[in-house]
Amino acid sequence: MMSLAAQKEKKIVLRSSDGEEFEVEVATARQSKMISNMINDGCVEGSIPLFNVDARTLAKVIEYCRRHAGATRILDEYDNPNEEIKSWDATYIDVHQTILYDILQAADYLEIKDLLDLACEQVANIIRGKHVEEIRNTFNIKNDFTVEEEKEIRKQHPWLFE
Amino acid sequence: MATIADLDGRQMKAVEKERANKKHSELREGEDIAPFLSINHGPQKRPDRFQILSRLPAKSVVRFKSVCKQWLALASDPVFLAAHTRCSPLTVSGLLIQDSFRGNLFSFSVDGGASPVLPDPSLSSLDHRFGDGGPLHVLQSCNGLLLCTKPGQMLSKSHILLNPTTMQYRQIPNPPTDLYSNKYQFMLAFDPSTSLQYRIACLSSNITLPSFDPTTHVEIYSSDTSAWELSRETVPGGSISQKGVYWNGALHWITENAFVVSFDVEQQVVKTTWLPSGDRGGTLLYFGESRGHLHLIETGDGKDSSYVDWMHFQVFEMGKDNASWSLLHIVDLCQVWDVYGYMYPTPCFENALGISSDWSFRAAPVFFARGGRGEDDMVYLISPEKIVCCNLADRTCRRIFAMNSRITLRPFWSFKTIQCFPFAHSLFSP
Repeated sequence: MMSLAAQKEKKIVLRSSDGEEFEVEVATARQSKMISNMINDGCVEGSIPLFNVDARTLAKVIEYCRRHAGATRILDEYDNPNEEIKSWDATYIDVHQTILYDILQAADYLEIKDLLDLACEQVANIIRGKHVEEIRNTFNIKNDFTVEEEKEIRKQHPWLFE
Repeated sequence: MATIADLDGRQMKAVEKERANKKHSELREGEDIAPFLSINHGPQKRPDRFQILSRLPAKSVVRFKSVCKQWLALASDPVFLAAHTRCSPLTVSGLLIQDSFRGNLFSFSVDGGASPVLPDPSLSSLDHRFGDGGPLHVLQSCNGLLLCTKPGQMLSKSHILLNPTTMQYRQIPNPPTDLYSNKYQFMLAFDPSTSLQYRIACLSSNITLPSFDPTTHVEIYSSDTSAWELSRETVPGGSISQKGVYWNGALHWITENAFVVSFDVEQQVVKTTWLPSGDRGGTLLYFGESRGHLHLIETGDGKDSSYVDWMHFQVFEMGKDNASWSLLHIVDLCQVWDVYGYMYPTPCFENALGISSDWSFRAAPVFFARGGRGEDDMVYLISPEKIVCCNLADRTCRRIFAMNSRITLRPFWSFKTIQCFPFAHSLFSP
């Protein structure tokens, strides 16, 4: 095991699906459970190919990992995320749906749980408070109910559609 | 330790994903997240949509059943419903008010919204579901469920566990009467963030009047076994002066002798503490739980006072790591009364027994809501004319419900006949 200071100095190279290389600190890379496992197993000679993450997404994900690796205190004394990180996260994840989806996929693939949670929460926020029709438009979901079927479902929950 | 095979698997997965991605990039904008929200998403069946949709409030999930067939299927899937129950935060969205003398029930939204907060706001559709004997009587509200009873015959009273959001219910079998024939109080313990198992505790004794009973036995019904079991521990006896509260893994109640009894349902450990005022007196107005803290409201007057000063009260709090009461707020309602004309401007005094047929001057606290991040603490007060929400930080007050000809509150002899149950929306089926 390397000391923390040694880890900080040591860098590894991540290669995106479109061939761009990113040099990152080990502490940053370790935010990803998948990469962290690879480091532990000593499979990080040369660069790590990430077949599923393009350069644009990877840059964005590294930005997140770097911020979170550098944060001295993620949790306050009540185990709540610290305010500074929280507001940083909020700004970070306030992106266009396309990028948000890429982040979701990358966080899932790289096993960065906090980032996956953040992205999921953001999608939930987009959904929350929207009407059924707005949801269909936002996510381009086809309404596959017949008029009667839809009416029947709404009839079962009249209090939610008033 | 990952093996080479794992890595190969990972790479395979990556190739598959890339294929999925390629397909995805051909989609029009706006469809970006749709694959994540659909049932058959790509080659891997990952619960991504669970992770997203289980963060939505219960009401949204029910409403979105009409988005498309896949969402309808998901919102009815027991695996999803369990995941939703586990991770959806339970925030109080409404209050259920019960006039226990007349049996009236009504509900309203805590933010004063006009639309109903429950499919059946007075629960009257269940009135005749469990035989005659009038409307359901609510005993306790706990994390999305209501513990109710059917008034009428004392011994054959049945208990019903109801989810008022989905109107699903379960009738709980009566505890055995052979050992302890008198059942004083039923209390519900349910916290989906730790377990989907619920328990119902029943205080029982051989003595008819709880006041004469030095120790009381506890019988526990568990949803896992669907059976009642006698606890090895006994608890202090005495009438219970406020409804039970489930908080921090333990049921809490207050006896007439000013004891706060805590019963850890899992470990079966009993703890007893004093009310914050101890033997100094003061009238207990409220006992409840909000955002992980236990709260208690008492009037500030001492036991030598022959009046209860309803206009001044103190809010005490207990935290999970700190098993003692700390004073959180000293409230002077006179200030609020003056600013807001719809309450009587004069402070009033009532006798210490709380007995009065003239209730019109009074407002009683029925729910203390601890502020979340960036929110202020609120106290909800009920009077015969209205329900008011009072912000304890900036001392502002707003009316969130006005009584009308359909919904009235006239306590028969004591404010205690009016009970209030804060409830949260949940999709859990009892």
